[in-house]
Amino acid sequence: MSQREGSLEDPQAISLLPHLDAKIRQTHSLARLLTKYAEQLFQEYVQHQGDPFGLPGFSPPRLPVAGLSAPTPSHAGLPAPERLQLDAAALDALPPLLDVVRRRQAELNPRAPRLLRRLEDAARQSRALGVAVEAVLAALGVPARGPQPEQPPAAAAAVSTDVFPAKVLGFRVCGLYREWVSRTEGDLGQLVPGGPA
Amino acid sequence: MLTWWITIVQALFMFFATESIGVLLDPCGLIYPESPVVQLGSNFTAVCVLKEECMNDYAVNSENIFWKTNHATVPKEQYTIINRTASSVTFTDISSLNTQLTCNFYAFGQIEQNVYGITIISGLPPEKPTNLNCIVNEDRYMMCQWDPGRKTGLETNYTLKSEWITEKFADCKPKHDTPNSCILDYLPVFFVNIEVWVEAENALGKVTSDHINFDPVDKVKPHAPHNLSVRNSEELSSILKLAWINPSIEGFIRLKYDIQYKTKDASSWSQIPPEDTSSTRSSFTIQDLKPFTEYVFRMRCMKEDGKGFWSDWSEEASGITYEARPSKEPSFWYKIDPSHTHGYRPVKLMWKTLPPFEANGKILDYEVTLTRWKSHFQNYRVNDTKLTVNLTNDRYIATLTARNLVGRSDASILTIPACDFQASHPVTDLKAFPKDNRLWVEWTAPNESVNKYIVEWCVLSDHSPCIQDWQQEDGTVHLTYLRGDIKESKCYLITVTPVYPDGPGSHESVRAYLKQAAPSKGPTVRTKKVGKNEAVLEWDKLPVDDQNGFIRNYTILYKTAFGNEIAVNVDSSHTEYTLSSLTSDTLYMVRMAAYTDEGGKYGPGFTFTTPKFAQGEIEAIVVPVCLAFLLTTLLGVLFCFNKRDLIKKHIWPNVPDPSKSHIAQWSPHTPPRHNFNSKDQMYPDGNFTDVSVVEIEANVKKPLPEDLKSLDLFKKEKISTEGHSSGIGGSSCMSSSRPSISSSDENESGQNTSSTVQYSTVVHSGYRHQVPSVQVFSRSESTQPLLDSEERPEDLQLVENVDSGEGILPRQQYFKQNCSQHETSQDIPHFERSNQVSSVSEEDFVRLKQQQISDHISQSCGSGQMKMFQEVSTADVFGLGTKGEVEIFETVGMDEGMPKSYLPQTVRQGGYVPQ
Repeated sequence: MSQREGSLEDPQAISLLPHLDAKIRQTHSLARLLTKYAEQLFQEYVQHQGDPFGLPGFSPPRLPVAGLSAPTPSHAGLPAPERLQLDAAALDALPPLLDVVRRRQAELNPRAPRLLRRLEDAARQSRALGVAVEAVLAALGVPARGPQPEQPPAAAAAVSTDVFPAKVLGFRVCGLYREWVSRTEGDLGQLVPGGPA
Repeated sequence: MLTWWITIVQALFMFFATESIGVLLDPCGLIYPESPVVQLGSNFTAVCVLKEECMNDYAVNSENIFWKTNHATVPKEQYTIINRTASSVTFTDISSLNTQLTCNFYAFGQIEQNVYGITIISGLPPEKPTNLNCIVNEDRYMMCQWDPGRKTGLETNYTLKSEWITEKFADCKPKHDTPNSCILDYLPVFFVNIEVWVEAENALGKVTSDHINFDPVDKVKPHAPHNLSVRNSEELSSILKLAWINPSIEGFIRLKYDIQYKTKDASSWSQIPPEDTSSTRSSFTIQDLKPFTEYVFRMRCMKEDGKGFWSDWSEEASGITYEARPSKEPSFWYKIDPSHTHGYRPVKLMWKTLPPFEANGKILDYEVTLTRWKSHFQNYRVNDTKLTVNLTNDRYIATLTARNLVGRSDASILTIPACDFQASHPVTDLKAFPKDNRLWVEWTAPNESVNKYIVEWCVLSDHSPCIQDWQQEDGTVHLTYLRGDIKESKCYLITVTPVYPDGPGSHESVRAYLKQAAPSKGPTVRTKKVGKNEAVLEWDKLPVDDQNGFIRNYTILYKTAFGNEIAVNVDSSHTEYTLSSLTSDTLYMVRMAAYTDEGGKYGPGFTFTTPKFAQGEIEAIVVPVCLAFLLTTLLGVLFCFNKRDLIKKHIWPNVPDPSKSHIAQWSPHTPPRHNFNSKDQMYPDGNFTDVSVVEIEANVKKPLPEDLKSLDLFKKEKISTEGHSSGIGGSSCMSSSRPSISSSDENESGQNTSSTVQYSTVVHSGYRHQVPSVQVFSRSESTQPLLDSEERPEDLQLVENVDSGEGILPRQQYFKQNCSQHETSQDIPHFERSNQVSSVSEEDFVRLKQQQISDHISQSCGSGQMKMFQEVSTADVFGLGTKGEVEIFETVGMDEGMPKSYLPQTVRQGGYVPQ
């Protein structure tokens, strides 16, 4: 870990930079807000998909999504910059997936404007959060892009024409969105002076 | 079929109409530019180009073109001939917003022909929008507004643009009714900076405002806290716990609060210090509140750092603090019923309910203790605010406490003095005045130490009793206001009683109004007394219910029917007034107004008429006149009384009573009373059947000259006719011997009627012992008409003269009998004596003596006697002169020379034969 990175682990050192501090706080607040929104989006999505998505204990298989991986358990053990880099990459990959889901939901649930609006907003907000994290990384002097995993672009992910797989995909994307945003909130929270909010 | 034909006809009509319009609307030329928009103040040039066919048809060219703006011809100096078909016009400094510009020419040199027309629209380019600001309503929308700057005069479009770093958002177009603000149709994301700006654009330009970049969370207006609740504490009666639910944004931002509270009936709010509510929380405890008081709360919130906007106020919530022990003793007072019985006196103890801020809870009851001696207690527990007890005439100490759920108040102590207690030491300088819609009472405290003051008041009215209300003030107070339902225009009687440790002192009273008004009705004026030039008006004082204020003065207005109205101001202490300088016998109208400080009111009018004469004036005239009349009458009566005999002799002559007559004896020795011989000689033949003999009174000394003339005639012409007729009798008793003289003038008629007229005999002397009268009449039954002389006033005067001559007789007798005696002392007795003369001979003798005396007076009386004679002569001035008197004497002498003959007919006819 570089001296600079080491310095990032020290919240007291970060607090010496007012602008960075404010940026971290703002990004953290955004991540926290989007976590809430992501939860609302997930609940709303499930609500509109019908059974068995709304049944308690429904747990579809965690199928891999093209261009987006789920946070790994080892994520917490990574240094903060790397975690943020992973967060930024995932947030950057989520908007196309959310757009795909929105389009499919527009076909499946055209009379669910709030869901569609939430999906649209989620894509935009995910992008905004990713940019914010990148800005923090830039402020920290860390390159935004770390080692990219060998994954096909999310936009190129094959979208099943079947309804149920499409719903499962949306279920999976919304869940990933919720996880990555939450993960980003946690990662940023460690940088906020005074500890996690 | 018919429909088909109609359709064909319509289509043909449309075709031909369109063709015709196309031909008619083909202009002779065009103006370039066709729709210009020009900036105000700039230059503008338009070109009119004529068509060749039109130029040929009308034989015109560009030189014939003239321009008009708004129907006014543009000066040719602004024209420019470009070529044969084109002419331009140039305007500098366009100032009007819309201008109609037409290109025209005169066809054939005379007919004005319009070629083309355009409208020049002018205005200004948009200014740069300023003061761009945005507000984000939590979970709802973001609205931005700006200042558009000057008016452009043109249709200007504003566009609100926004973008993140990562993407642009859709433009926001303001609505028509709110051109300077716009609501974004997407929910802004907090914690992501957004850049916003405004573009303004119209036909003359486009301008962009400054860009603003902000985190929407710094422009947020949170939702108001909700579910506000208030809870009290049984442990502390001075606190309330306030709790609420924060808006959802509280999960992402920290908030601060603004908490306000007030008592239920208050109008203004109190604020919790901001430093106590500067952080996110969901409850707060308000301290230093009053016990058992209802408070109302409201609150709002905003971002903790002060960025953004305050939320709206929450809904209000109220709560009541817990009870506490009454903080003050109740006001305590008493009244003694004056109608007390033997040894006891009914005392009404009364107290006021504590106000809520002093009761500190619900008062459950009151405890009254009466102490007569230190060891003698009487306790009462009362729910009411009064207690009537019968007390002895001794001194009592009364204590009062109020009790609520928590405890008791301090005791209010009142000394009820013994029956023989003498109150003293009143307050001084007591005055009451209205101020700030309250009735204030102020006084100067007595020198002695005062426990408290009792202020009592009631409304004075003529229709209802004075029901007193009261309040208690501390002993240090000397200015307070009446804490009751004080009404305007009511007269309040305010009494202040100082209360000393040993009992109440003397009270002082004052009257006051909260607000005065004009009287409800005016005084009714009336007259108390009306004189020739003045009138005393009086009126009753207005009832206190009608006064509505202190009567400051009265105004009396009075006038005549046609005169000016005169106003007189009268002090309010008066109830009557005297109007002076009035005109007599005039109708006056008077009315009267009573004035308070706020105005006056006139009473009913009243009219009165001044009399023509002053009081007593008529009496002053009538009484003297009556007195004079009475006096005159009295004098006349006295005179008549004194002269009653004389009057009686004239009015009621003594008529000899034949029944009492007797035949006298004719004696040759008896000298004849009258010389009848001469009569016999004069009337020897005795042809007269009825003879009336008039005996002229020998002592009638002063006949008027006319009478003398008549007598002369009588002597000369009728000397030989003894039987002259007499006018005596008939209807006139007042006829004297004079008419008999006049009757002789109608001797013939008298003779003609002598045979049918019964004549009376007039004998000029008393009969026998009867009082002789000067003239004696005998009523005759003659129907002979009255002689003229009877109705002649001079004849009556003659009678009077005869009467007055009779008055002279006694004096002549005086001269006869006692010429040397004093006149005044002997006058009446002589007169009386003369009345006593009864015989005819004596009377004749007196007459003779009078004649002799007259001669004697004129010859031998002394100087004093001459004086008396002169007095008589002076008396004769009324009708008799000295000369006349002499002549009368001569006449008398003639009578003497011609003896009277009395030959009563009755003697011969009735058997009365003189002997």
